[in-house]
Amino acid sequence: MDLSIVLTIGKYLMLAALYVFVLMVFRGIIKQLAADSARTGVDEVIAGRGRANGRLAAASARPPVRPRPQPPASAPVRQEQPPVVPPVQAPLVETVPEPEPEPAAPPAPLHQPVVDLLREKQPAAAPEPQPAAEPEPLPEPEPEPRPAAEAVQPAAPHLRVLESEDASRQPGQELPLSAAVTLGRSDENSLPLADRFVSSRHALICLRDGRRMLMDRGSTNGTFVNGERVEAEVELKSGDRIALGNTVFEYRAG
Amino acid sequence: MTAIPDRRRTELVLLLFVALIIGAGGVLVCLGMGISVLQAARPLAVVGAFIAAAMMLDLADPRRDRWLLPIFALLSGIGFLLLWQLDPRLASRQLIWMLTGSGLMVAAYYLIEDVRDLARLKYTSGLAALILVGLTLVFGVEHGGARLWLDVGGLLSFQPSELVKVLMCIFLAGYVAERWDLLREDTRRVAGFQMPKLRHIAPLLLMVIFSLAIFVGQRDLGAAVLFFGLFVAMTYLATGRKAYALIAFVLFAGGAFAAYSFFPHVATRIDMWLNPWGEPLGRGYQILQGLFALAEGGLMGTGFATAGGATIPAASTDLIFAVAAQQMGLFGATAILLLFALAAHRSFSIAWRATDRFGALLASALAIVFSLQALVIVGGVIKLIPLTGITLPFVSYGGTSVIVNFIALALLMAVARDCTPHLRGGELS
Repeated sequence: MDLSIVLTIGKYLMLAALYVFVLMVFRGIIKQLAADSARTGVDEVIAGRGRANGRLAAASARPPVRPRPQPPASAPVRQEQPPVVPPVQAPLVETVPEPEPEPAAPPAPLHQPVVDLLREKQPAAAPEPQPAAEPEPLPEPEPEPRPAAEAVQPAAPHLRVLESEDASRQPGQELPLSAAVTLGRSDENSLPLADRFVSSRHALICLRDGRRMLMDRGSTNGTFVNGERVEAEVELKSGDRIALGNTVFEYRAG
Repeated sequence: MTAIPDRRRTELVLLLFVALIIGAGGVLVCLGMGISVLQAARPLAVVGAFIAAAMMLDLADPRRDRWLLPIFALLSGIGFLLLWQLDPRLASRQLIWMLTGSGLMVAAYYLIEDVRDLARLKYTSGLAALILVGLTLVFGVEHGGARLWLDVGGLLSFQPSELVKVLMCIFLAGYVAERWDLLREDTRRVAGFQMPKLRHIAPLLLMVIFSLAIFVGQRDLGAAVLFFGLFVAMTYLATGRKAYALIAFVLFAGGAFAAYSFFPHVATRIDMWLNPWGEPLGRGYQILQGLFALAEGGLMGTGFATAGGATIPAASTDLIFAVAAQQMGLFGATAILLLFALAAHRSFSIAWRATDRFGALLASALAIVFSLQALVIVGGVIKLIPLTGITLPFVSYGGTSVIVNFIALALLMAVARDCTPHLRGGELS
C-alpha cells in the first residue's frame, strides 16, 4: 500500500481516537461528580448550599417524622433529597411492603466509606427523644436490606451544648449530627454559631470510614478537643469536649 | 469480577488508551520520516513514565485522583510527537525531562505529607519567588531577546519564571486563606465599591506589582500576563465580588496602554498583533508563519511527519500549538484545547470539594495557571490577543517547564488526597 494512504488513514484514526478519549474522560468526570455529590452531600454542606436542610438537622426541636408513602431511594447515587438530612429513611422501612435488596452495599472493600455514611445517616435521622421506639417495631424484612446498624446504634450521635454565648444554643441542648456538619459564624454553615470568637467557616465534622472526624477549616482562634488544639483533623470519641471560640460541646456517639 | 477497583481500572484503561494513541502516532511519524518503526518506543516511553508514576502513586494509598494523569499523559505524548519531528535532539532531552519530572512528581507527592502544611510556607515561597526573579534580573542570561534564564554552575540553565509561578500559587493561596475573613468583611466603601482595607490587600498588591514590573522589565510579557491574571482570579475567589475583576480589567487596559507608550518591545508585540503584514519578513515573521501553519492545517491537518514547523521561529516552545494545528488540523487543535478544559474542570472540582480553604485556593490557583497559560499562548498563536512568549503546559519543550508542571500536578493530587477526606480523591465511586 502506498505510504501516503497509510499516513492519511492513520491521521483520521488518530483524530477519532483523540475525541473518543476526550468523551471518555468527560463522561467519567461528570459521572463521578454526580455520584460523589449524591453519595455524600458533603460538598453541598461545605458550599453552604445545603443550608436549609443543614439547619433542620441542627435544630433539636424537630417535628415528629411522618412516614411518607413513596419507597426509599434504593441506590445512593439516585438519592434525590440531599442526604445531609434524611429524616424519613429509618421509619420508612415499616411502610414499604417489599423492600428490594439494596444495590447500595457494594462488595469491594474500597466502598466501605459509602456504606458507613449510609449506616450513620439512618440513626442520625431518628428522632432523639425516643431512641427505643425505633428499632423495636421494625419487622425485619427477609432480604435484610441494610446492615444491622440500627440495632447497633440505639441513639443518634449528637453534640451536647455545654457552654455558648449564642442565645439559641442553651446548655444542655442536643444537636444531632448528620454525615457532615459545618460549624462557623456564617449563616452558610449547617450549624451556625453566633459567637464572636468563631470564624465564619470554622470546623467540619464528618464521617470517614465509619469514624467521626473533626477538621479545623483554617479557623483563626482554633478548635480544641479536650484542651488540645486540632492541627488538621482528629477522630472524635464519645465524651470528647470540643471547644471553639466561647462555645463548648460534648460529643456523644449515641 | 476483578481485583482492580473501579477507578483504578478506569485510569489504567485511559492510560493504556493514551499509550495506544501515542504509539500509533509514533509509528506514523517513523513511517513518515523513514526511520525504523521500533523508534516509536520513544514516544511510548513518555506515556510509560506516566503509567509508572501512576503505579508508584498507588503504593501507599490507592485512593487518589484518577483523571489528571491520563489527560496530561496524552498532552505530553502529543507534544513529544511534534517535538520529535521538529528536532530529534530536543525530543530526546524532553524525554529525559519527562522521566525526571514524573519521578519528582511521585517524590513530591510522598514528601508532602499534608498539603495543608504548605500554608505555613507562604511567606517563604513568596520571598523565594522574589529572590529568584531578582537573581534573574541581575545574573540572567539572555536567550533570544529575553533575560529569562539562570545558569547554574555553567551546566544547567533554568527559567525561574516557571518555578516562580508555583511559588506564587502557594503564596497567594496561603495569604488569601489566612486573611479570608478580613478580605471579605473588613471592608471600606471607596467610590461606591466595597474594597478591603489597604492593609489587608497591600502585601498582595506589592507582591504583584513588583513581579509585574520585573517581568515587564525583563520582557517576559507572557509571565506578566499570567501573574496578573492569577492575581485577579485569586482576588475574585477571595472576595466573590465581580467589581474587582472589572476594576482589574480597567487597570490592565490602562497599564497596557502605558506599556505600549513607554516600552518599545511591548509596542512591537501590539503592532505586530494588529498588523503583522507590515513587516512580513521582519517583526511580523513569527506570527505570520504561525498563521500560515494554521491555514495549511485546515480542518483535518496535513498529518504527522510532514516537515511542518521548520520555518516557524520558536516552534518547539511557544508556537508548538501552531505546529499541532498544522499537522492535526482544527479538529486536533480543538481536541488539545478540550483536554486543557477537562484538566481545568477536574482541578476546579478538586478545589470545590476541598474542606480546607488553603487546599481549595491552591488547587484553584494551579488550575488557573494551567488554563491561563494555555489561553494566553493559544490566543497569541491564533492572533486573538498579542503573542506573548509562554509555554503550553506539558506540550511545549522546556526542562524547567516540564518539571515544574509535574510538581504542580503533584500538588493538585495532594490537595485531592488531603483536603477532600470525605471523598478521598474521588475514589469512592
